[in-house]
Amino acid sequence: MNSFLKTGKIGQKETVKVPTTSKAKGTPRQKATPWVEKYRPKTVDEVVEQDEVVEVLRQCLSGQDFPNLLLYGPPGTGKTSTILAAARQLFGTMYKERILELNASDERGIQVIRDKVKSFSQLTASHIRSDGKSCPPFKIVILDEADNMTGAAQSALRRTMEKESHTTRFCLICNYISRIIQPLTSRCTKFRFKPLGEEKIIQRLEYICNEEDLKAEKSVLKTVVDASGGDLRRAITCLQSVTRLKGKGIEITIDDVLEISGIVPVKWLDDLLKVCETKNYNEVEAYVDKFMLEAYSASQVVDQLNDIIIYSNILTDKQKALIAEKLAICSYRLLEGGSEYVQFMNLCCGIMQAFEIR
Amino acid sequence: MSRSKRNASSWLRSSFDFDAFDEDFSKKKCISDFIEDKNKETDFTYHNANVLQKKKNNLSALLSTCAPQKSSELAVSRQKQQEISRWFDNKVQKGKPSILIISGPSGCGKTEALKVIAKEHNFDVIEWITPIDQVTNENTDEIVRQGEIFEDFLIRTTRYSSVLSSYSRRLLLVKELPNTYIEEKDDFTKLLKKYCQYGREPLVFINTETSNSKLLTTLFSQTNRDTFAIDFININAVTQTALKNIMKRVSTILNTKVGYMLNITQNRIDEVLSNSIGDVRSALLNLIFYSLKVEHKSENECNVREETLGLLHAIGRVINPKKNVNGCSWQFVHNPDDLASCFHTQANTFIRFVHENYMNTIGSNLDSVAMAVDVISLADVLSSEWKDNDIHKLALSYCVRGVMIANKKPVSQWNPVRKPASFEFNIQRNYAAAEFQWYKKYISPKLEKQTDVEELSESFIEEIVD
Amino acid sequence: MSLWVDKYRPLNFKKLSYHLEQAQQLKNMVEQGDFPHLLIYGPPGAGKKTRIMCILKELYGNGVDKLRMESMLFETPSKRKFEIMTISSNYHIEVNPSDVGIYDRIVVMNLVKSTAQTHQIDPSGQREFKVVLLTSVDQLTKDAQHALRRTMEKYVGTCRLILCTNSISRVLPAIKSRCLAIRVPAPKIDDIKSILHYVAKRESLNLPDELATRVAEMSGRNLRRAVLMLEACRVEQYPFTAEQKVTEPDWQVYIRGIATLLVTEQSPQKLLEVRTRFYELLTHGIPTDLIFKGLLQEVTKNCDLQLKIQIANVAADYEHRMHQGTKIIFHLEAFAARFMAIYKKFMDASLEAFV
Repeated sequence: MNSFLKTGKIGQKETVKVPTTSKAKGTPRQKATPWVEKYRPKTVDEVVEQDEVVEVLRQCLSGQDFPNLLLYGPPGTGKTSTILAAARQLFGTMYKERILELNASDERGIQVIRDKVKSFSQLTASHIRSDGKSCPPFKIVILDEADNMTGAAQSALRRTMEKESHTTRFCLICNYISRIIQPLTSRCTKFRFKPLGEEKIIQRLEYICNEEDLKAEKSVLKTVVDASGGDLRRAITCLQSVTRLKGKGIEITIDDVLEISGIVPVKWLDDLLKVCETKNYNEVEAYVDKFMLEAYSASQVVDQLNDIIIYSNILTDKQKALIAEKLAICSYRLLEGGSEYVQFMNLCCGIMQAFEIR
Repeated sequence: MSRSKRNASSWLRSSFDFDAFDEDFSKKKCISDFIEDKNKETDFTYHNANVLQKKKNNLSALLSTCAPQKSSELAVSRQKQQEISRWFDNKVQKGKPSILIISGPSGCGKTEALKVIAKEHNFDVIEWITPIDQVTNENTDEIVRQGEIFEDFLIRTTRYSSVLSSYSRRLLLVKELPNTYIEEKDDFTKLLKKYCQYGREPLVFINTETSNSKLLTTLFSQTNRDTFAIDFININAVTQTALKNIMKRVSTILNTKVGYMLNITQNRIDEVLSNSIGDVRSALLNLIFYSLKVEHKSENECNVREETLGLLHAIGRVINPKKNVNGCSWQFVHNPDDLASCFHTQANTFIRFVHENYMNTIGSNLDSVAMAVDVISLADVLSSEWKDNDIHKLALSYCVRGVMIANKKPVSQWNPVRKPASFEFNIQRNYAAAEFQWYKKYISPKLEKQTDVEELSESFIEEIVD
Repeated sequence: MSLWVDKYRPLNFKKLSYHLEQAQQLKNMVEQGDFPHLLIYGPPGAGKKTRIMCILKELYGNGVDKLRMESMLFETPSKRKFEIMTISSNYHIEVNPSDVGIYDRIVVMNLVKSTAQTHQIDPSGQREFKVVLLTSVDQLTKDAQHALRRTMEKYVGTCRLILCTNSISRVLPAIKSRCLAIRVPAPKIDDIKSILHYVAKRESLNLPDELATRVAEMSGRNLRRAVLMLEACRVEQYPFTAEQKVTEPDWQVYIRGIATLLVTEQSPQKLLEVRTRFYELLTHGIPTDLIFKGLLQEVTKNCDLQLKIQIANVAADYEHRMHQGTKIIFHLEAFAARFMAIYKKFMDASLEAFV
């Protein structure tokens, strides 16, 4: 997902902190840069949290070499940022030429992997940077969203990785390591990225607010963090979207954040549980109708309801289990393209049934 | 010279060289679409027999020997025959135009019926065949439009009669229209008008119903039919009994006449019958190819031919399962897996057939119905997965077994196996647009004729420009 | 002649009559000169399209009013050609990629590409980007959505996408996260009523308040439908009376008819009849979730709670299977059959209890 912000077509605003790597073309009109890109860490040390990984990488960097990497962890925890920052430190201004980035939305069949990676890795890399400093004589292939690659493509990669090891390092990035085939994981050094702590995200957001001249209460920022579920990128994007809609210099409120991030207000969820508790089908039907018209997304409700159910003090474990099962089914079916109305109705019925046993 | 030219302009051919013409004619039939135009003149049976002696593999001749000669031999039901006869008796007047449309599914015997009945009413049938080559005017060397030739055919053909023809009257038969008329509806209406003015002899259109033919709604719309007083006769697909009778008749003819190359047995007839639904032509062709005597010796080795199972037969076994009860245990007479294994290659078709027909024999037990259709529904889900080849087999086997088990007490009554309706459901209509459209028609009915999407967006555009 | 729906469609932000705060925000955003890709979602008839047109108008001025219809030709890798209708102005192009079914991926990729690559030579030079408006995004195949996300980021410099959809549950999270999502809830009953009154006033008609209320309620908070219904009423009968008939689209009536069939008699013969009716609906291209929703709403009317829950469960099961499978009719029929079986059992049981 990172690549939304990596298109590099938009010139970057010159801020004090931005190093020279950005290729700002002097466009007459100042364009808005995605903040995620703007505040992407420039060195490995700037990476938020993830101390372990950073430590190892720093060691590697001082030794001017590193093994093949496999970075995994939830989205928005800084996987791509880390490897990009590392590459930047290693290669300086040349890092664009030394990196081949492929992500899932590119054509990534077996043939493409073979051709692109092969032709890229066959280019020789000198060990001297353009500015005269020495740098490691290899290139990096970054395979973003590697868990979306087909099994066949992954197998094809296996051989390539070994064959090109003298000139090329591979860096696989994925959310779920279980979807990477065993032979690949065994060829890489694995790093797990922890979800970011709330405090750390808020700190970062506060820093950005400060830079961008925004006013936001700490409680508002906390809502932002909650809404983005520990995903720093989403949090930053959310913040930027709000400013876009509201204009600069205006105080951001909790409502704005909720609206932008598509979070269903708690009131609706409370109503849902209340109306299910009445065990009156007609009322539930009316509620669902009304809910649909508000254009909230049913899959979002499923996500939020999950938290509420798990932390609920009123429900018994058995009830929780029943509801959770329904939630799982509903979520899956919605993703498969099921009708929101019918599936949501079914979910409500399931909750009603769960309330019956007590 | 193209065959089409002959057909289109047979009225100006001199009829003196009858023999040559005849020779010519039968040769052409070899290359022509042998099924479509069969011969109807009586003396041709004899003639064809001669040809057969000469050309042993002449399929078209073979087929024409099978053509019905009497109305009793027709595949079309008696009622429909009478309808056509009545049209000849009542509507056809000497020197006046009259139009009839016969419509029906392919291979139900429309053309044969018309020809035989026309013969009985002493009509000579002249058939239009759209020329494939371009026809040039002999004087000016310009290319003549198909539409003009067709017009010529309709208006002028009947003016001159062949000297040798023994028939008193003639009848124009049109089975295919020149493509120009499909686009130009108005031209066609004009043509019909002209025919009504000048035409002398009856005109019959034959329309084969296919899923996408729109002829009846476009060219022969209800208004057109009303203005030109066109009669319309719809013929149904051939029933299984009628087909059986025809097969019986044909088999005796073929066995006696061309016994040296064909060997038709009752077994084969049954097998062919079980596989065809209401299409005489295809049944006949199947039968002939099936019964061809194979000359080379390998037959002995193939003696233990695997039992092939007709689709309809198999469906019958699935929807009407028979059990061998043995004490308290039982098993199916026909093993479900064997049934399924015969249709691996056409799993989807088979499932659709089962779906269409499973309710025939299931009686009134709703639980069984629900279970059976649940099985079918799951089988569809399974067979939509493309991950694995085996899953298709699995789906089919599951479907067959499930439906057989669900049907606990099959009601054994005679039920024809139906063909599943062939619908295309991939029309994804924009609901909002559809609703808009519906109201629009309601509000201003005169806009109805225009097509959906165009209209919608056009009005939208107008509005914004305002 | 144009329908009232078009005639009274607001053309700029000032004329919008509800969701005013949101309108102001959108205006703000456009005034800043640049915005990310937009994902506008809401139920049908909530005014999504109207808002999009307002945004375009605000962006480009009157230039967007000069619309033309074109059919664009695309070719699949297997050399199959197909056409799709587009509506475009100098500044934007609108297309519904799901019109072409499984080939939507090609449309999405090529259209965005060609739009983004042709630079605008415009003397006024208002904007550096063009807008591509894609409707019914939720009906796009997963393949097309993946392609979309790639094209989205690739051409962000020269082209902005506005995606318009009814529900975002079916939109990939990856796309959601790349867009600024804007929710357009359905207008309130009162909003609709006041708009109906406004329309009536402009047409100098006398609209009784009761009728306005009824139309607004029957429309299911769908503004487009409400205005269409009002105009249909006008055709039907004028002067208006409070109790006059409000016309509904015939498929609604038809679906209700099927539900009645299911409830009145449960037998395989009836099921066959229901099957032909399903075929009828499907050949007319009525969306399947509409059929399921309609049936579920209607058949549960005279059941008790347990039964309702059971039926909702069954409906959800088969609805899901329908999306996995390919033959819609199987699953519709399976639902009908299962309902009949359940309902019959229920009726028999309650009869016995009665005796």
